[in-house]
Amino acid sequence: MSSDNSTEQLENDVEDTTKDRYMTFNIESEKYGLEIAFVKEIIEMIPITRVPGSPEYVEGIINLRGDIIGVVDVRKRFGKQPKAYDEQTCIIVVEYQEYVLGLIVDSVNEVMTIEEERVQAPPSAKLSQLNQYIRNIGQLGDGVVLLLDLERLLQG
Amino acid sequence: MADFDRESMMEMFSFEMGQLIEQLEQNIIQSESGYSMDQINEIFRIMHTIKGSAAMMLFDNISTTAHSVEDLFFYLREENPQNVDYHRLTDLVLAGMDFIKVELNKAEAGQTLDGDGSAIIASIKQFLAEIKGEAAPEPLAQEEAPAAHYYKAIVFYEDGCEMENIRAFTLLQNLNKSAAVISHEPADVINEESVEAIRKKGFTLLFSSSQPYAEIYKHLASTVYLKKLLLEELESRQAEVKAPKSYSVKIKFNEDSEMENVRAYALIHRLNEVLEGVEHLPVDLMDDASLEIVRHEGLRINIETVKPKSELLDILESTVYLKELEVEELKSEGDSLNEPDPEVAPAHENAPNADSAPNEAAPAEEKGEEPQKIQAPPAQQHKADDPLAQKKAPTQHVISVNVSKLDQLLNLMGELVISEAMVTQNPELENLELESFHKEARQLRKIIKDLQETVMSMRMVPLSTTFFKMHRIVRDMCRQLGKDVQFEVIGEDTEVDKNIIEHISDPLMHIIRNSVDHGIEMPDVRVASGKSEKGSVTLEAKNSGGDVLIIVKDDGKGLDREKILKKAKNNGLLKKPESEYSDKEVQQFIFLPGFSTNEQVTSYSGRGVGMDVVSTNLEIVGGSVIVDSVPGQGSAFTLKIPLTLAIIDGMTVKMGGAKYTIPIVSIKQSFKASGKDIFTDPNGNEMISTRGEIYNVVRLHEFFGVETAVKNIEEGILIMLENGDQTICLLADELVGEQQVVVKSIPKYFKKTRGISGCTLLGNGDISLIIDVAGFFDK
Repeated sequence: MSSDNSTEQLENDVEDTTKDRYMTFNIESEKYGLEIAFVKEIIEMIPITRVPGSPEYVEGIINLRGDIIGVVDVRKRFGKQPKAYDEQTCIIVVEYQEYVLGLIVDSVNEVMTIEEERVQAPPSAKLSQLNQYIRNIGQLGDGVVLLLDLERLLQG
Repeated sequence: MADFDRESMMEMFSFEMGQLIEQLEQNIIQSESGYSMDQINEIFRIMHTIKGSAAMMLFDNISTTAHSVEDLFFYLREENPQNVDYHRLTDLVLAGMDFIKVELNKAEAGQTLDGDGSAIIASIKQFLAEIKGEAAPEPLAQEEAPAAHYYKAIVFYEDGCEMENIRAFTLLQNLNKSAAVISHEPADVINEESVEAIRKKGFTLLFSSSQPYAEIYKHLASTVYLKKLLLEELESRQAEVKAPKSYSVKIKFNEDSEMENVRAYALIHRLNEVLEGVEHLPVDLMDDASLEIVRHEGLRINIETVKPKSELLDILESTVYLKELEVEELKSEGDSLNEPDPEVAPAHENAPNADSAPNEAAPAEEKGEEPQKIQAPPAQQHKADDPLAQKKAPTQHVISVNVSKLDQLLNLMGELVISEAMVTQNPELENLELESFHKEARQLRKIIKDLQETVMSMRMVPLSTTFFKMHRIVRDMCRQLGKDVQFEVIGEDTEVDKNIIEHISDPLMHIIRNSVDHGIEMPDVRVASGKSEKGSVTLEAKNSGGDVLIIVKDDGKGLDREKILKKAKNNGLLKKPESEYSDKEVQQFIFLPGFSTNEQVTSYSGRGVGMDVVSTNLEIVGGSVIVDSVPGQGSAFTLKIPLTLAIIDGMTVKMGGAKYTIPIVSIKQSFKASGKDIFTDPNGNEMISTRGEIYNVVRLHEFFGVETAVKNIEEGILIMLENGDQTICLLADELVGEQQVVVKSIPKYFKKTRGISGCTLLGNGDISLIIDVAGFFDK
């Protein structure tokens, strides 16, 4: 019995560690967040092979320890000015349903908890190009985190 | 037996059924124009086995359908009637088989078998009646009618039908109208105690009648709640007191046949169907311990029966995975009465009689299609002239392996190829004196290459199964459309990777449908245009370099340029004046989605889906399709598919900072061009002349829209690529080298890019894009 309880406890803990937890990163001055459950890993920039015929924002493919995955430049995806990659630039590898994709971001911040009551839907009125990838907005004491809609983002 | 391991039986059942149905299909299709005795025997045997196995699994609708087909072939085999409409026969058998297939799928999916085979059975019965009606009088009927025949019948009622004694009494009353009942057992049917006796031993009747066997059988078979009927015609009245004989049978199965107890159970079930008094040891076959006993000591069966020995042997010998069979006749004490002559007693139920037994077994042996069917060396009790006595049991050389394991093996093989390259081409080894290392590395590479070839060859499957399915399609269509087509298959033993086969079955089907439906004309039209009445469709497979070509050729009316152009115009597909389209370009239109020029939608084609499936499915496996058509003379569709998907020999080139790998099979040569051979036509197309031939130059960087430093043709390298009968020269920056690469797909996130079929990892971990050579042609 006791072992059952502890297993259950453990599962709850695992769930708790991902619930309301977001990986945050920066693009320009904005702070964005991704649900931690979808984030596989964060890697530094590695050589990217361009695939001819793909859209501008799709940087190409990388060799992630033998797996080939696609990489998207989030800046370009959001229609922002491209910026030269530096030592801060990172690739966040996300896994969503059957897709595994790398997202190039300016820099990675921290993993933080944003409670449900501090998360609200974005203003629906203006659906600008950027706005359609934002699912929710998280309120922080010193600003906001734009929480990304990964499904939308992956729809090439 | 309620708790037997149904799962494992089901697995064995569906595997065996699959094989049987495949054999059956091949036999039927081959014999459409006339059934040889061998084929009739074979079909009979297959149906018999299907019936038995299905009954064992309690799939009654499969069993009864198979039974009716079996009856039909039993008659064909015994009587060899000459007035059979073979087309109709084939239709009937195929219909029966389709029904069985559908039910089998349900069984495999764990659903209830709710199909109703009665319509098929009825039409088979009617067909049988028609053949019989017009056939020469049956042998039994030839005997002088007034002479009385003596019969012995044993009737078993269905379990739980209750009041067996009353039913027996009713049967007696009914029978008295047409026959004189001499005696019956139990004698007092009205007595309550006889109920149990009838349940256990059946109701035995001895009677005489002037009617022939078939009539009597029919009469008795109509009894309600009938479970089993055994009817024999006795030689004379004396024979009525025929004594049962006892046999002791010992059977061993092949060592690797697995599930021996389940097989034993299946055998006992079959024996029980036809024979009475079957006892076996071990008694509980579903017990795990019995598996060991049957495996090591064999299955012992004691049979006490009045049936001729030949019948018994028939059943025993048809057991699959049979290794040893011993049959011994036991002399019992009460054996002093008349000996029945096994050769004279007519065979019934469905067991074949003694004369045909060797015939029945022989075709399966000769064809060698069924590795698990092994005839055992019979014991000394066999008749000396039995041909089976000479045959030795061959050992099994084939095992079946789960495809996912093969896939895994292939993946690992790919990893091995990559990591070998990573080790031997490791940058840290550069500039080192490593004589011995390179020698060993070469040896390693050789072993890996051999290993890889072996792994690939394991995945190779002949096209024959796929091709045989096409027989059926052509046949069904001809019957329905009223066309007459000679369908020929060439090179069906050509082998292709298993994964690829799955992708070409559909395209092939669509092309063949298209050929029969659109290509071949109606017989009268053909005659009017000076062709033979019978159309011809040829399906051919052959190897050509690293590809397999599958060609579907018909001698029909060919593609109608005007019709296609008109349709293309209506669909807004034309991008230049009609007259500027070459015949080849026009013909390629038919592979676009929604393109059908057939005015009328038939059940086979005309809906506009189909031909586009061909091109899309082929693209998935990196193949292509070419049409060649001459109006009035026919069309030829050539499918070009790679032998294997996984590992290719490639030439890697560099262009604009990225690497590209070109399949070696497509490369004719690579060379540096000199300025004087390069010229440009007024449209700006660059060309090169080499060895007296002129080729178009395609700049890789322009094709892919990529920036590169090498823009001068003289500075770069030209690679001459071949695709079918076309050749171009591709300009790249420089050659990197030749190596085997493992094809990986571009992630799903990317849309398909023309000219790229996948990607691969090079020895140093770099990614190289694999060039799809066909993409550079037919722009």
